Amino acid sequence: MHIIDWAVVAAYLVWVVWDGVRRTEHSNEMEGYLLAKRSLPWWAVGLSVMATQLSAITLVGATGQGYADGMRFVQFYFGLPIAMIILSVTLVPFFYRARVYTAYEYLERRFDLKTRTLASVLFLCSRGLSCGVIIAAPAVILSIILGWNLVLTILAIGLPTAVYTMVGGVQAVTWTDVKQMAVIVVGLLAVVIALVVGLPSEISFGQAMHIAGTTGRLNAVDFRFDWSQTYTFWSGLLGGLFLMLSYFGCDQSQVQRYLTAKSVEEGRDSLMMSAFVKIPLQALVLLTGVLVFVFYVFNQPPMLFNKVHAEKVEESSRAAEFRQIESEFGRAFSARRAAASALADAPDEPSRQAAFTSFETSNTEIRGLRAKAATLVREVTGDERYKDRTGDTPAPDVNYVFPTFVTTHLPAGLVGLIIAAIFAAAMSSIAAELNSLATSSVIDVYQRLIKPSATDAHYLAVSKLLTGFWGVVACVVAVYAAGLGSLIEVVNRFGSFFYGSLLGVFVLALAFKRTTGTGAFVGLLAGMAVVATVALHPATSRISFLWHNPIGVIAVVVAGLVVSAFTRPAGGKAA
Amino acid sequence: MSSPDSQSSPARMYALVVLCEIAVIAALWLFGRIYS
Repeated sequence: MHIIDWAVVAAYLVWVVWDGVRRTEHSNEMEGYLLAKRSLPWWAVGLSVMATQLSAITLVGATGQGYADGMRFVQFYFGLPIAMIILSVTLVPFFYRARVYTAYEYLERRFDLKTRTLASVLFLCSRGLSCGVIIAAPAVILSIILGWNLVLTILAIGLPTAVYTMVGGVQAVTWTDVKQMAVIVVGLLAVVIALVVGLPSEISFGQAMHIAGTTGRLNAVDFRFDWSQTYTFWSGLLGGLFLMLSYFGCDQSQVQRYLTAKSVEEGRDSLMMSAFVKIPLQALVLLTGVLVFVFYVFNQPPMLFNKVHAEKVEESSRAAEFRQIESEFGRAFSARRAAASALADAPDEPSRQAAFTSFETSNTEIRGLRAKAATLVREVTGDERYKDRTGDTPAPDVNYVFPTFVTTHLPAGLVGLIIAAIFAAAMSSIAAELNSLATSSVIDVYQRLIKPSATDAHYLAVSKLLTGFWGVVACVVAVYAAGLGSLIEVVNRFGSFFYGSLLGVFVLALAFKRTTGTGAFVGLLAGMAVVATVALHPATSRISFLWHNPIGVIAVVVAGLVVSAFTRPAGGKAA
Repeated sequence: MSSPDSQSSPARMYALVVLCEIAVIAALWLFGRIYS
């Protein structure tokens, strides 16, 4: 990396930490430290909500998805605007009126202590681990692409975030999120401009889009109803709706963002910002990936983007075989580039058709050669993830596409800006998670179960200590997760078992007055068991994970109502 | 108690969100059709 890029990344880190630690207004009392005394404007909260959702792995992974599989991933977000409307009408005003610090506090008021404790402990376990994964995933990629030390990369992302979150609390989280979101958007726009300007002079933007379109990468909307397809209009709209309802309505890392808004109206408006902006923003991220694909139609890409795996094969006894595939790959690339130029210049329909057929043939050949190389990697390294493919790229390679492009083809300065944007995406998500983990630990566990009647200053000190504690836990988990690819999957899977079920408990709380505490508690456990069974049983494991959320909600509601019919409400609490 | 205006304003906002979403999805679909 060029010295200018180092300077840009260092300037970003210094700026964000300095900006975070000076945001200490109202941070000398609990409500100020954890909820900014409910004083923040809607636009800052709205940007914080979006920055929290957009982690580094979303940024890097989604551009890779755009490269390998096109725009269809955008459908994942189709349920988001509807979820925001439903939450604005239901949970947002409800949480405000209840004056709660955490979403789980409400579960005790409505049901009982055991339901609140189970929900908060599930949140703490799931988010505590996922926070480590959020640091580990970009750290692994950056360390491989840039040759950085892995542990130092983890610390470079995790420690500054923990420091400013610990010192400034939610004010620091929100105001740094605003700036981090700006860094991400500016970085993305700069890449899009660089990609469009970097097209060969004879290729217009429209022709580039036609080339991407011939491979199906611009088919963003798929109206087929297929349970096994991960991203379709229906899975995104319905499955995604439940996922987003759960994420924005029941996950403390998001609930805490809008609880900091000045009023119910401002909290609602902050969610409306995501409702308007999220799908176009995600489309821009994916389009960036599609443009990277077009770029690599005219500039030879590596056969495998994860160079560590490629190097391992080259050092093994199968090196000659690998080099043979690589030379065939080079020939297929040249044929595809020639066909793409012919496709762009085709004067009439017959020549267009001929160029299209030639492009398709060489593209299929490239896909086949990458599959062969992936098989070789799997056999040499034993990495079973190389069995899977995303579009025409080996699945584990997808996350390396964008950083490879950035570090090998962008000018000095811009590389630093994009690395800073990846840092920003990771840090904004981690900060919100550390902040919410500390809040739930103090409010739902420490204050409620361990020390119920201490002073505000005591709880404030404990909140700061716990923010630091969770920062250390996240870094330690990150170091372990980085070495174990399967652990990342386990953590993500655990989160998906829990999400729909937690939403089911809130549905029981708000929509069914007859539900008892025991009903909600058993319902939550039953919902998680049903989702785990659906996800792991061979007969149902092909059902896309987006459908796990509605399945979890239905299971919790049914089990909760059945158990409630045989149990009595404690203390006659009602919705 | 909220005035009728303050109640209709979020409703208009929600309607706008739905309309925008339909427009964005239609634009994405059309974009794919034009360039495929």
